[in-house]
Amino acid sequence: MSSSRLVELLRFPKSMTSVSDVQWNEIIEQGRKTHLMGQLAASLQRGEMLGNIPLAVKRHLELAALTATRRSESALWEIATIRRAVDPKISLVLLKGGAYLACADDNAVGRTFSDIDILVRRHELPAVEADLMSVGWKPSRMNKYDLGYYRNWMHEVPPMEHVRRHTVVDLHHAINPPVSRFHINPDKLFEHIEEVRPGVFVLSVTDRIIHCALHLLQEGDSKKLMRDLFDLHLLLRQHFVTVSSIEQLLHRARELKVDRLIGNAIGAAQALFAVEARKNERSGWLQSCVERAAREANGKAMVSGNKASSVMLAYSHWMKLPLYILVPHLVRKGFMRMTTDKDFNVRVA
Amino acid sequence: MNDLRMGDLSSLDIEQRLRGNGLGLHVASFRCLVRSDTGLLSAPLRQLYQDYPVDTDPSGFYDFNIRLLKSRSNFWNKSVVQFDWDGSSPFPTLPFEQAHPLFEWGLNWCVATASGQHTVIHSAVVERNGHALVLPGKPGSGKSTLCAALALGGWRLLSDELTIVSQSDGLVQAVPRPISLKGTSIDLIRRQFPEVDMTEAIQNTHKGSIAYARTPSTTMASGNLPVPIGYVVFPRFKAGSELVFEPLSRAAALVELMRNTFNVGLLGSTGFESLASAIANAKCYAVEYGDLSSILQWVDTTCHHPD
Repeated sequence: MSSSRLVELLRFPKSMTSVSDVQWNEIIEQGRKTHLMGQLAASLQRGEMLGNIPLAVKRHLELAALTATRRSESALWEIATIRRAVDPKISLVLLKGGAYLACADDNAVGRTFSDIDILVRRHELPAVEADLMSVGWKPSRMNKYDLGYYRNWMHEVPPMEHVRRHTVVDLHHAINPPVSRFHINPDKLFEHIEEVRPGVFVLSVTDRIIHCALHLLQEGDSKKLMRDLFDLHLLLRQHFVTVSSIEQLLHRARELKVDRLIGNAIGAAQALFAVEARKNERSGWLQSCVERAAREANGKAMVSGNKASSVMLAYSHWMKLPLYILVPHLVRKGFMRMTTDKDFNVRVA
Repeated sequence: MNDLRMGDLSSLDIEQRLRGNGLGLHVASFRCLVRSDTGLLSAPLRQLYQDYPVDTDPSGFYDFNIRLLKSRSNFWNKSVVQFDWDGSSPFPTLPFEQAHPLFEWGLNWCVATASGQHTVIHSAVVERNGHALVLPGKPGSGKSTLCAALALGGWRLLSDELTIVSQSDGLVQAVPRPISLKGTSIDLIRRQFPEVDMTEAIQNTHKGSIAYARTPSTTMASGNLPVPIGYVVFPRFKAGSELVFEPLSRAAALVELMRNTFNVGLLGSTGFESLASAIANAKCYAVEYGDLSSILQWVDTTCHHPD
């Protein structure tokens, strides 16, 4: 089953009038699988269609909207707590969900996110980690190998979880791994950050979009692909309406040497969600692969994997790490998985 | 609305639907579409849900699209069963024999999740003379046993696991389901109610041995009318103890109820306020008891609202 009906409804809320009860089954199933229930509710609300939904369906959408609202409130509260805990001289830059929320971007409405992502300068990391630990965020417990993987190669430190509230903070010192073939020097991003609350910053809107596009490609998780593409679409629709503004965005992407990636991600988002799809945009293999992986990721329960999403997964790894690091890592991970799986089965059986 | 009940179908009919396009099962205001290739669901479903409306040809919108599927990772591993609701499950895969308990636990989770706009309390709840008796309790407090005995003794079962209190009017919503019994209480209930219709116990689940008693027909016949909370009783079983009880202030009861509420964070302050007004006229007690008959007698005399 592909997610075409959900996509259609997100793209064009007015099409809801022709949705039958049986089709709602499909839409809600896809909405849950793609974690887009809250955004579907928000999108129908924006299209003033919420009143016409069958009552049985409406209660699920309303609950999703309520959940998203509450989570957003608590995320803002956590952000304020983090700001108070960290040395005021250090700028905290919100990324992804937290940033959309703090800027009240269109895509923040109905969007649920679990981790708070924060970018700081690399030399400030130890101070920030220590400050967060002092108010109850504890570093993840992981084995030496995983710890080394994070510390040596990744653009973030291992997730920190609050001991009582179990909220998770992901501290970044860059938006992609320093060893990545598309590494973006964070200094270039810090040049354009914008202050949204005292001491709390976000990337410039152009860089937010570039990060969104880059993230969806390098994450490689086709289950989240649809949501990330919808984010990208809504951000573009809100901030980059004119052709010249899109040009400006691509110019910035060229400057950061990620223009091909960004072009493909934007192309996929527009092909899926834009009401009048832009013609003659380049439609490379990467773009069609992204589209297909997003559409097909939500098929039959638990049957994981199809060609497009496997390609996406492989590509995301290729983006993130050079082969001399990637290959040994995957081999080692494969071994670990085999051994832990065995233990798991013994325990369950 | 159809008039077909689970009991009208043969086990074979049910099995075919479960393996095919699904069997529609209506539980109060929730419509569930159940699919399973385990072969272990049709018998308990037919026995326990015989008075529930069903659709043999699924049509319209279903709140829960549930799959219980058998799988086996390698030929040398035992088969396991996985619960799935639209791609998510709070449970790990379980040994194959536990397919039916997994269905019941899974459906509880679906109902609790989808009722998030109401206050959802981890608590048994029964009703007599238009007033609900809410029985919150930790595992081992004897709440399920007490709930089963009350429901089999003429109280209307609203739920043996989830007390759902409406945010708007403070009434308890009925979502009656088969009653789960664990460990020694299985034989206890069999002795007290020899006529009870119960499944064979399944051993070695993470909750020990577990059996299910069919939802009493009187409960099913009396509809799903929501009722106000009349009593909140916190039972505590202590072997060999004489029955002692103490009245609780509503404030103390409220704090304890909040502690047993799944969605406190989701509801925020409005949840607190609505639950406070929902128990504004309730009498609240903590009861310690050593045997079932003493607390049944106590409930009968104390939680007796005049008609």
